[in-house]
Amino acid sequence: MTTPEAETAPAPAPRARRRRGRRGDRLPWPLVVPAALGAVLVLLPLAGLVWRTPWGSLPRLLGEAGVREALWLSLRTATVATALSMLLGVPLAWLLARVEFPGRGLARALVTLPMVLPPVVGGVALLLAAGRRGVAGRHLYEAFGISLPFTTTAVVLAQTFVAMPFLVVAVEGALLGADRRYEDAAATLGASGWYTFRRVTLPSIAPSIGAGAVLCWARALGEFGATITFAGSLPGTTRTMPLAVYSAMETDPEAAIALSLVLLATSVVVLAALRGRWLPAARDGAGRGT
Amino acid sequence: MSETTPGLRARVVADRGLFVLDVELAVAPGEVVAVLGPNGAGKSTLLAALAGLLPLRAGHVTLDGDVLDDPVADRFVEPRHRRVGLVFQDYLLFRHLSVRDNIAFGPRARRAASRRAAHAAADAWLDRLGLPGFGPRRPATLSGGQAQRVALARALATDPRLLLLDEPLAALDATTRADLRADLRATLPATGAAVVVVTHDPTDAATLADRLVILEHGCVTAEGTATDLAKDPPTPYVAKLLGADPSPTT
Repeated sequence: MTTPEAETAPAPAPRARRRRGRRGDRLPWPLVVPAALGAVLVLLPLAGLVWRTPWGSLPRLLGEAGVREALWLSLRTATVATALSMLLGVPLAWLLARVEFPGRGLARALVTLPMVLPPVVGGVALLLAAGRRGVAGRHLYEAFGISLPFTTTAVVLAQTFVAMPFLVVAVEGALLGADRRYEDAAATLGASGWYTFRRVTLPSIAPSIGAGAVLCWARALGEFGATITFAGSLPGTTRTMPLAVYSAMETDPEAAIALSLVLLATSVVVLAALRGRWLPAARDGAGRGT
Repeated sequence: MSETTPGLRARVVADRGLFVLDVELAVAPGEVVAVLGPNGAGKSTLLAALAGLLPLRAGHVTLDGDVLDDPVADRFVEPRHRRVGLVFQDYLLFRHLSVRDNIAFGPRARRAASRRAAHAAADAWLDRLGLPGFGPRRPATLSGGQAQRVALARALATDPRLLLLDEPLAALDATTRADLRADLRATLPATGAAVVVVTHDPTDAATLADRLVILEHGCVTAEGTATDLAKDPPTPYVAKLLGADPSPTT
């Protein structure tokens, strides 16, 4: 009765999934069928993309000036946005995890808002804030003559707005899970808060920062809605890969497929890197302290 | 009783959930006092308060005449400015640093020594504690006894005026325990610091300490040498604790 073979139908989903292979006949079909359909729903379009890729003309398509421009712009802006997210996001995560202040719960929720907010809305918000007539943008323009919208800087800002929360959430989780007694130990040894953060806290959460940065970079690379709203789609300046895919669909579907394939390949590489290295480390991070 | 009395003078009052910890403690420089008590008596809370990791609710902590904590006078010295060393029960060595960098951490953090000087001092501590050549090792490769020695060296390298040890022998096997106990007996008084050792083991307490302080439910119920306490145990806990063999075994 209690042998593993005997417990079939009532087994909850995670347990059912854990019995890998060679037991298909014992798996409950109300779970297996939707699971298979779900997998097909995700994988079929991707298979279609790979299937329809014009492999023969791929080198020519990827060698086109417009494509190379978009690719280079995307790599640059996503990397700068990730660097900016780390520079601002790690201290922000530290503040949210370590410092008690009134309204902290609300601040936590608001910081993660861009994760669930439709990116287009984010773009509109950025335009209203940093546009030439925006709340902050007006002063920026009047004082320095700087206008952000429709510049590469705007692309970076849009990407940072949308992608930074991924990093903040990962780092904040690691900080909340880290054993704070290591920081106590550092304090009794005479270390200042800043020294402790650099020499004790930061190394202990490094795997999570790495994982968060990769997620952040991938999200920035794929950013579309906020970018097109706030930065437009100017070739060479603001037309990143996703925007190039979108505009190519109307004129040159083959180029759109080629560009999509590049983004897909990048995503797969990112996912593989995360699975193999950072995600397990980040999961252990909670108990690892330093 | 002048304000410049050397060593530790403290009255620690702190909330501890079910009861209030209220302990008076005086330890002279070079003296080793063992705080003995059952689990949950407030021993670790006492150490945290002395180290400054837990602010007092009332009372005071004075070390070599300096007031480190006094809620009435609104005075609180941060842990990093106290020169109070704390050796944690589970060592808490920094895993990403080598043994040498762990020991050099305090002097480096306080800019008290150059990197080279701090490393040389760390190696000297390792020699002194019977771990020559262990400098480049990672904490993860150490046995419990070795890790405890490194943790002790890390605390001593900051030249503390007060050294606190939380159950320094509890996690060790019998042989290691006896070795380290003997080494601690030799090392601790020589540091010149006031030393407080928290333990629940009467043999450890009797061996390491000049004086025993018995803590039960947040209060001191007895105080004195192991021999005196065994002769005339003031509470049933003390009688049970020291009844079997009160004399030092080494």
